[in-house]
Amino acid sequence: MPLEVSILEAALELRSRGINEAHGFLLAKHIRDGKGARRLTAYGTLYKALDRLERAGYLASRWEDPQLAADDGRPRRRHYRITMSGEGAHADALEGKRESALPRSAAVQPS
Amino acid sequence: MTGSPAAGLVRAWVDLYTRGLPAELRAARCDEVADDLWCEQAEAATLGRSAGVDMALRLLFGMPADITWRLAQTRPMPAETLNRRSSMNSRALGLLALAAGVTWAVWLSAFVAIGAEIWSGGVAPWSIVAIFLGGIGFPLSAIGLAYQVQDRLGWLSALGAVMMVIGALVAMTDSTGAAPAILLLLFPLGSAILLWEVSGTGFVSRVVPIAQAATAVALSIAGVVGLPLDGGPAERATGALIFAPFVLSWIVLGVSVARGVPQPESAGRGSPA
Repeated sequence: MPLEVSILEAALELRSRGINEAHGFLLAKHIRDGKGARRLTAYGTLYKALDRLERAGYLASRWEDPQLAADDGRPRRRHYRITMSGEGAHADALEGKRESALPRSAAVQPS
Repeated sequence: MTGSPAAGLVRAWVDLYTRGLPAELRAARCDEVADDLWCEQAEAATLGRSAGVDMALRLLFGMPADITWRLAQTRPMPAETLNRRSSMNSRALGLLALAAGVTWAVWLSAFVAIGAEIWSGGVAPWSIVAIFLGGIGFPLSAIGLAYQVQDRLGWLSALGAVMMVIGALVAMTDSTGAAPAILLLLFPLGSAILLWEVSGTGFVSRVVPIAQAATAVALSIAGVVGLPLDGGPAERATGALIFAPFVLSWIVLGVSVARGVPQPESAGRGSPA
């Protein structure tokens, strides 16, 4: 399964558990645990895929309030949520309609 | 929580490959990875193990994606989507590069065919004119282009320009057999450096400086291993092959610039709210 589809799936699964937004590490962790993999997705691969998905409109992101990060003593966090378009793309990918095209189609290229 | 050597390595790498990007885009990527590192270390601490090896592997396996992502941030927009502005200056610079490139291509072909005889008889004056046309035309067009975007160029461009001019002077004097051939390397190398900087503004394709750098590298290797670039037909063909990317790059640049100079849009997205 292409990483982009895995990310959308992870976002949907997290949302079904009441987590409407997830940061990069949480998504990577969810993918790793779901696959039973030993390692998290590589930094470059993960954030490039998130970037592509956001450019395609399948994910939307926002930066959290910097005060929250400061209070927790950690770097600020970027939260992603799946969009309606992302849900459609995920459903199509699962049906095989876009599985091969999703990661690299013109639709996910920077506009 | 932030002191692991592997985490430091990841941060150093992110700092390196985001250098030169718009500040907000750079900060976004750095902060996002920093948060990931923080979470990874927190998880490892909870499980009572070290995250160092995993971090190093995540770094290593993600490097190709980082590099392609970085290149995508600075890649000039496709020519068709750019608003090309034709001006007398840019057209003249493009035509000059094109004329010099075509002249050098023809000269190289003739050199492969007839060898040293290109410097004798009735062909000699034409050879000198051809070499001088490139020796003057290439630097003029490159520096002319750089001049148009001078506010966006740094000291590296100036260094490239100086190297290129010295190399061009060597190329012209070397054609009459006077200068050390090793200095010829400065011509494609300086040009590649200068045009790499210029290509960052979207004025020319990245392919141009990369092709010129290929000639510089091949010329260096030939110099180190003592490969003769003239003499018999095979040696001359090797020499022509080494210079071919350099010469072709000027033809590409000439055609592109003669069509007009694109107006690059400022990059930068994915910035934090």
